Amino acid sequence: MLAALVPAWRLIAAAQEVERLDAGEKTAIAVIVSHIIPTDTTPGAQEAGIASDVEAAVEKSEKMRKIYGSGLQELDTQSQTQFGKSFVEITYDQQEQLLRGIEKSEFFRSVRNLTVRRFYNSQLGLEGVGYPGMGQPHGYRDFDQPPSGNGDQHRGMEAEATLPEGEGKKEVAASCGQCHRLNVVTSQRKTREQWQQTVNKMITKYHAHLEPDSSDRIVSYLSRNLGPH
Amino acid sequence: MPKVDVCIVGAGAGGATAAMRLAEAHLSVVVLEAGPHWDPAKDFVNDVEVMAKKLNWDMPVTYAGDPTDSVIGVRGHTAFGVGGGTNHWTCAVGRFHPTDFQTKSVDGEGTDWPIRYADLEPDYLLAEKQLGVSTPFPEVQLPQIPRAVNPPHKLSFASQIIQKGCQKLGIHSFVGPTAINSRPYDGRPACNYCGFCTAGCMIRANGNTLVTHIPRAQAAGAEIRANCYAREIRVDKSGIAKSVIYFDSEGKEQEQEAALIVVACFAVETPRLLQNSTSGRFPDGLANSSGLVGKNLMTHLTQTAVGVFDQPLDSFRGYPIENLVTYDFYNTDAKRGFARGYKISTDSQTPIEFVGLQPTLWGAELKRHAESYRYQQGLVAIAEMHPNDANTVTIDPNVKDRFGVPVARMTHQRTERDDRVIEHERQTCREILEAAGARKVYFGHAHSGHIMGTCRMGVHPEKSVVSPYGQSHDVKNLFIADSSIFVTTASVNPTLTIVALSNRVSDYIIRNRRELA
Repeated sequence: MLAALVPAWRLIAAAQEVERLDAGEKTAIAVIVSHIIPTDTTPGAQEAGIASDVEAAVEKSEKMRKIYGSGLQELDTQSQTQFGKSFVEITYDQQEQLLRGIEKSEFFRSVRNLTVRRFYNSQLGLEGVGYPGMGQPHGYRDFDQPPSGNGDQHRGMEAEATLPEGEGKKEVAASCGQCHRLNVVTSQRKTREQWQQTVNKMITKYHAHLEPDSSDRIVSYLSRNLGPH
Repeated sequence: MPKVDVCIVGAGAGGATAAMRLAEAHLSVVVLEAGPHWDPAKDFVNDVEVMAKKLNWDMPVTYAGDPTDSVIGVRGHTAFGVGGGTNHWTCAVGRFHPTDFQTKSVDGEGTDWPIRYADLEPDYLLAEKQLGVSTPFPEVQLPQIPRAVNPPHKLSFASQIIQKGCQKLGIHSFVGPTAINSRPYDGRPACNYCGFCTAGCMIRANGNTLVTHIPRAQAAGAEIRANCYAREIRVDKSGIAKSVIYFDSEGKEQEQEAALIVVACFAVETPRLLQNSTSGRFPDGLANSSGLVGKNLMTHLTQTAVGVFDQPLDSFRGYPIENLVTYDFYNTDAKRGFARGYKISTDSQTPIEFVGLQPTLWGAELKRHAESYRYQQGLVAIAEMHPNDANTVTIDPNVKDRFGVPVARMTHQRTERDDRVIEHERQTCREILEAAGARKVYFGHAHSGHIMGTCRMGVHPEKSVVSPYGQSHDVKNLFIADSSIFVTTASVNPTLTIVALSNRVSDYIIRNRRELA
């Protein structure tokens, strides 16, 4: 669809051959990314799959590829000198220490900025800051009113109040509310099939810990109470 | 291509307005637009990153000014496609204030316009009707405050908090005028306050010329030729503009002949097009006998400040700019130590913008900063920048775009006055946020995408590029209808004035069509 809309001449840009990142480099990038947005009380860059976005961006530009190639090599050299092991093998705290040491370098700033930009535009990142991301067709007609919810960042605290009454409500609040705000759920209307797909995505992509019958009960609740209008 | 009455280069605020007005006056019109013809429902999504990639002007522009100058941080920032910059504008539509037209005679700085506020008032009224502007609230008895076609918007919860801060300080603030539908208007729905104005309005509630002027232009017979990138304007032996040479969507060179040519492709690309249009008769570029094409590059002195409060505000709800605005700092106050002033408006932050206020933090510290997102509200101040002919858009001698056409090079130096103005903006924004209860204030980058002044209007051919009606002093069938023709920047967003001026230019063309053709 994009190809038909955008002129041919706008697509000519930069189809340059860039050397791919090797497995070792990819592992190191994933480690750095997980330090920049760590997983703590809320999901981090790892759960949001940001490393692959960074890899893709690097493999698009020869200039970036060079910066990352030499940046990663330098990091390994430092790691070998100080700890006698490669960067990915040293402890988390040792990695953190090395990264603090290079945080002003062009290489680190690039990984940092890419990671931050991607993460805070990803679903998990947006949920982490309490941004429900409700664009169209919902909008916020109540924008002149105080925000709903008490602003508490703890998942599940606002909980059950916002969910419609019905069998399975508690389980939905506990399971879904662990990782994101519940108005992300209540703002949507889907068929059973679509809810099943969403729940599957939560399990496979975001690693939600759900037992098989639990996910069935959740899908049943969602399709009964939040089906199409 | 068969010759037409008018060929317009650029389908943004200025070009779309001229296309509509001239087509409705039964002139045959072709509009060349470098970008695609967007369909809001299909092409726009509520994702700021995806939309920035789609909409941002991506042809190269180089920069040779003060490297520390953050004033022009967004170099050549306009949008790509039919609707131009109005695809991602915030719809803030303050009129220029009467003093803006005569800063030299009132304040001894800048340059006077060849027209006065009263000259443009009828065009402002027309522009407000075309764009569906909402009325400010509460009403203020100033000539520049419109009673527009639509009722006022409500104040967002966060704006109400800011207004209380203003009241404590004795600052008068009000709901600004916006080109956002406050009720269904002109076949378009009312806004539902999703907050994604800058990512393209999917529901057409924003007064984007893509949905306000272009459909009317097409209904009146104008042809909008999307994905067509203009390279130069050719003249005939007698020095009359003859045709526009452009690359079509396949990248093939084409020529469109026209009796009149209207250039409206942004205050960076307009002087570039003219300077790239050289000939034996016009060796320094078209319409440039004054040497002022590309001179007096200006933007706004812009400062963002964001306060973090103790209570959640969810300021992402509602439209981002001028939900609340104050003009109390607009005119000169000798105590401030500089001439002219600024307006302050609420400025909602996207999560990425808010996180960007801490540009070096990472790790758990950054996550904790990000988690105050629900508790913040931003302000933005924009101030007048004076014209200076050392600030320019010229042709880069080395860099060419993918068609081999030399690109625009911006050169800009900031002045000591500029720094003083920005410092004052910072102080005032901080005072307001703190009076409203902010416990911490962050300052964002000072930059603006409002580019103006590079083909200024005037009465004297040696001191200006176009007449007070946008007509080239040198080439009588060549008009300019974008922010290039501004003489000064004022301290309000430029788009309403572009649309008003383009209406004025169009009226002149319509009145004089026989002599011009």
